[in-house]
Amino acid sequence: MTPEIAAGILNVPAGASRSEIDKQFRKQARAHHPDLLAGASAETLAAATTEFVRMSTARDVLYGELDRVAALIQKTDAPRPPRAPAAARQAPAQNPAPTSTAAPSGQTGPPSSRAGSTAPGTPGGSPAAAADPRGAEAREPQQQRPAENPQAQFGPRAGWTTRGPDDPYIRRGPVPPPPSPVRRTPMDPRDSRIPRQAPGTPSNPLDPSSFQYPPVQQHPQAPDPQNPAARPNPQYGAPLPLPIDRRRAFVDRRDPDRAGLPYPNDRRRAPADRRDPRNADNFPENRRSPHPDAFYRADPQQELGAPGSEVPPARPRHSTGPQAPSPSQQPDPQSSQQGPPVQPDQRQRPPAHEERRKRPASFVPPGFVPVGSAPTGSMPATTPGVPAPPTVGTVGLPGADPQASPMSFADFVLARDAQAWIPYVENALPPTPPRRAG
Amino acid sequence: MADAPPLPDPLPLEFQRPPRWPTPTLDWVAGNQGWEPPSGWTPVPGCSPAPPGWVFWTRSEEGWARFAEENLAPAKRSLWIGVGVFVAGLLLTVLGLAATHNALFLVFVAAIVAGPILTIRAGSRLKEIDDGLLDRVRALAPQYKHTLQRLAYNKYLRSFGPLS
Repeated sequence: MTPEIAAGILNVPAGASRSEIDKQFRKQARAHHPDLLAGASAETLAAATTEFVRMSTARDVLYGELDRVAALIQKTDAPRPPRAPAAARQAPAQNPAPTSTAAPSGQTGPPSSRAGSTAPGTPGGSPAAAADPRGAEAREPQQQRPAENPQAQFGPRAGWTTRGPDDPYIRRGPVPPPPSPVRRTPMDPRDSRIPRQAPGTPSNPLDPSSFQYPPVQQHPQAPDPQNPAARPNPQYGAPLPLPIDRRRAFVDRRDPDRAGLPYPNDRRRAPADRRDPRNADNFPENRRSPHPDAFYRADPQQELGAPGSEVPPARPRHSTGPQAPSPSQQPDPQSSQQGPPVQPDQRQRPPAHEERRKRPASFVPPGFVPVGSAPTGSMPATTPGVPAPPTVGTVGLPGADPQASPMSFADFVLARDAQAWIPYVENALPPTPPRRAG
Repeated sequence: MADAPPLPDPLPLEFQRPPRWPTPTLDWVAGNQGWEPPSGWTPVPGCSPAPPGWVFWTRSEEGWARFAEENLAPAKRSLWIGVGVFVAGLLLTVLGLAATHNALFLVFVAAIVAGPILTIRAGSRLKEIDDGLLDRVRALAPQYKHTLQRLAYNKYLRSFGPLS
């Protein structure tokens, strides 16, 4: 690639400076860099990579041209080598080499007579130095310089100066800049300018033979179960056992859906659907916090609150009236005739939705307050002597009595608020923070 | 018809039970977040009312942080930006002056000054947003409570089966 072509690729003039080249290269790299084409097709990526390599090559060519021109200018503008010292210049004059002192055929006088005629009476001094009007101070550095390079004064090359770059004798001007660092080839994989490619893609898209195979991943050596002594030292890359999760499994008592999961907010297991009748047993009455008195389950086969029932009749939690006598305390000849009471735990319990359907209309679960008789959760009556007027809805249980008419919204709110308070017991244990029923 | 929205877990506010009051269930606490009972209100008859000036709701440590995280995120970001500006200005000034003895690095003293100003402003903004959020929860508590009660009542009505 010639510098003209490279300049045309980078769209810079022929004599562009390094900064201009860099500027144009960056400008074009922003448009053609393959990293900017994430998600493009393979053909587009290959074309962009080719274009980028072409730009890099053009830039390197222009850099090389700049270096070459700079070296040429430096060589041309370099100060001329100083004149050899007088002693060094006189040496070839006194012992002239056959080639250099070949006198013209018309010259008749001896060389010594020519030398003596130019500077008689000045031993070891050049005629220029003798004629220098600046004196010895100005001539001194010129005379001291050969001592630094004794080769210029003595030896076979006396009187001649080497033109090597390290020759301090001829280096007078400013120290030239160091040569530009060796630029790697454009597709050197160590070059950070080259975008990282997927394994297996050719490193140089212009060279199909540069296909690189992906590195082979070595599988760790498996231990031999038959010979444990030959088991490799686990310190040197042998497969280690899986790390033990030392985190204690989190058991959230408030939410059984998340119980047993390792993290508190882990939602890997979908919560049970409350509307699914198969899950009805898990959500009794769809209440998330049952009243403490509602822990037992009513037997659907028995008439609740009936004389033969094992279940005690409902007693409002905050009611002030006398407690109803327990059915076990009341003698019931019919139940004694039918035999011993069947334990509720031994019966086959129907599903919850069937259970709810078979409940009698008079079912009053314990812990739910008749709203009309005991208004709770409301503002105190303005008149202390006048009780609150009785409401139509008598039982404050949401959804407990499907055969009755639903209560009003106000009654529902009062009944719901009434269940929400666990009574305060004097001298009891300090109240634990409320938790959802598990 | 939609059911009640899922309750935030943990709850952002904790109920402070007045002395000799019964303990509310978690559902009540969740459905009455920020609701201030009127003076003289008692949960059950025979219960002494709360002392005047009683603070019923306090921020839950974990729950409030999670609840207010979205609202406080910009202010927190500004706070960290202020700290970063201060530290960057400090490092640039000290290291730049020490390394180069160039007086131009005194320009970054401005960052040293601006960093704490940004930090203080972001901190005050953080507190302002936090307090405003709590006031908003308290102001919207009756509406939220009524909405939850209405949803529960609708669910209660649905338990009676389809309307005939």
